[in-house]
Amino acid sequence: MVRYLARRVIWAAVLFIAVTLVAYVLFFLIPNDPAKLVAGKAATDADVKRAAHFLGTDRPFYVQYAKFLDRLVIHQNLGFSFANRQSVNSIVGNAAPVTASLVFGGAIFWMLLALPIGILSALRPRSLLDRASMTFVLIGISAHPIWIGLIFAYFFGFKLGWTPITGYCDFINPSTDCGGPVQWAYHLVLPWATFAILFAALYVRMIRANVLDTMNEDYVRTARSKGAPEHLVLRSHILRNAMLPVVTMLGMDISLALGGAVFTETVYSLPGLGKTAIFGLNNNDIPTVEGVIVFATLAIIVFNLVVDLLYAWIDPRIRLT
Amino acid sequence: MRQHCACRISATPMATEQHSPEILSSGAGLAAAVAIETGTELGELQPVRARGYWEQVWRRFRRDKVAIGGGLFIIFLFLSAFAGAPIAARLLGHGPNDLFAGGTNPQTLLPVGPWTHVSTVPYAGAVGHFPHTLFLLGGDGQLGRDEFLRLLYGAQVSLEVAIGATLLSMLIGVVMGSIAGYHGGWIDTIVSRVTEIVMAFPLLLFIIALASTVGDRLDNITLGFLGKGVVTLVLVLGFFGWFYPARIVRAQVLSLREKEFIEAARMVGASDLRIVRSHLLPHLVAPIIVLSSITVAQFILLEAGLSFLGIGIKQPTASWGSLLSDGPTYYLTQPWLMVWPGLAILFTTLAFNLLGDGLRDAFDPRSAH
Repeated sequence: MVRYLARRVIWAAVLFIAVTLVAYVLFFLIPNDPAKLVAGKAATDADVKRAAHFLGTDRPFYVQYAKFLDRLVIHQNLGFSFANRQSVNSIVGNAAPVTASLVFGGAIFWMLLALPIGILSALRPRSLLDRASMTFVLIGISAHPIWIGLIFAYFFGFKLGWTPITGYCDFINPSTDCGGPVQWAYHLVLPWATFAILFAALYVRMIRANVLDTMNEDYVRTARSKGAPEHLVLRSHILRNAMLPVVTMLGMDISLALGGAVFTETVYSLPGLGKTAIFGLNNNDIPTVEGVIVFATLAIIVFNLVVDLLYAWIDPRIRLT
Repeated sequence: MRQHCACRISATPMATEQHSPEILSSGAGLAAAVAIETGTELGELQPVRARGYWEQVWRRFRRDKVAIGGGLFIIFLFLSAFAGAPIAARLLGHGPNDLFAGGTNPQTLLPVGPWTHVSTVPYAGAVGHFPHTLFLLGGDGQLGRDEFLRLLYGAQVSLEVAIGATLLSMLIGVVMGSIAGYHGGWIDTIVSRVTEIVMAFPLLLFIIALASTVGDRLDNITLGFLGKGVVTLVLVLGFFGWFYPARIVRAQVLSLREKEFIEAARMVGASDLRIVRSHLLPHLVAPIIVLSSITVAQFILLEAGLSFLGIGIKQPTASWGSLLSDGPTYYLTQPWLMVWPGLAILFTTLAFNLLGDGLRDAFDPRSAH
């Protein structure tokens, strides 16, 4: 267990350094100087120089990176945005709940869709339901999430008027009429559905394949021949084993999506991390983009750990070494 | 894996197809021979032609009508993108980037609807000698360009990016994967660790970041025939796309490396390069072809997404993603502008996915559920 934890921590540190460093190197390639943007259009060379000194972009990039690491590790501070001098901590702190709402709600959506459809179509291969669900899978993985979003917004939001077309409302803090859990969910229904479709398709496919494979295992036949009732065989022998890879995938997909639900956020104008990152990139706002990347990486590290622990809990044969 | 509807059912009775002559010749015994007295007479044995690997794959693939449909659609798409688009432009008398004042409604400044005859008056010289030209699917936005032609030319860009990036990522992936798997040792450690780390990257963010940072420098490289921005996307997507193929190839090579025929080749003194080229790579062709087809579909989606965000293909070059991003502006009057590029993307990725699934089943019949 100690060895396992030590390995985990080292892996997390390596991953963290790799991701943030690569991001810094990338920004070093940016052709236009952030200082020029900050100094404004009418700035003289001296102004630009002063702005660069103020932002710290006149130092070599490894010095900038070291300062960034130092700030982050010692003070848990992500610095200040180049674009508007806001604290990046608060920028990320404001955007993260939006993305988290989208991703976790979407995950619940897609699992609610994928679990029953995947299991039922595996139990009755080549039935009408199976055919229909496989068609859904193909369309789900082939249609562009942006396009699905636009069509949903047009149809349900504009034509039928069932839901708002864009926008986001806070879960807490019902200061205005846009706030509170009801408005929050009401504004997020379409984004959830859009976000969930691609994953629902992938998961239906995976769950179906896993269940089909597990159904042919020897221990399932043994359980049946011992006279175990069918629902028990399905629950304890088939599903428990077939769900193992699903848990891994779920953890990976959620953690990746936390950093980059860019398309859904753009279509529905949700002020989440993806939109923040795009804004930062368009304005050469390195600290903001780094902030989003740091958050995304932390999410990935945490979720990897959670998945590992869950895995050991579901399957007692697995020992964490 | 997929619903093989009718084709699956017709595919199952393999045994019935092999019928008389083959069973006889394979020495299945007299009992079998007597059982099938229907056809040729006893004793008149016909030699069986051995079927090669590719022939078997083709025979299995041919029965999969859905996959054939996907393949045919892809051929059709190539033809319409690279031959049809210029022909259509010639017939209509204008190009995809030509601006027409008549392409927007003068009162509302909104794009005209489908099947509109547009006056070429202010630009008559630029586009031939027709006083009017036809917009099959209407205008594309405030600039008054032809949506239909832009869709057709957008297919070029999509295919160029997706196929170029797939080739690049497969090339890097196969080289890295086979070196890591075959050589083992520290090279394997490095390649494996790097792929592991990169697969935990928030990749979409990095693709967006890289595309927007290096884009300005690479966008103008067109090699004479590619669209503006294609090279950037091919390099960026290829750069971030090789990890998955590398892992697959590495796993395959690792298991193949210990096989007897490799040992035999090594024993007769074949060089490493020769072993990899003539003994390992042929075994990798099947998984790589299948993976490529599915990767093309994913890259088409990604290209459209990046162009939608404005960091992929740059204007004025037409791309499905940028056409899609113009759509929502005209929600109220021209909702069709959102539909066409979306459908184009849907059908194209669907075709590549179907082809990939069909190829997988053809290469490895056991994989089919």
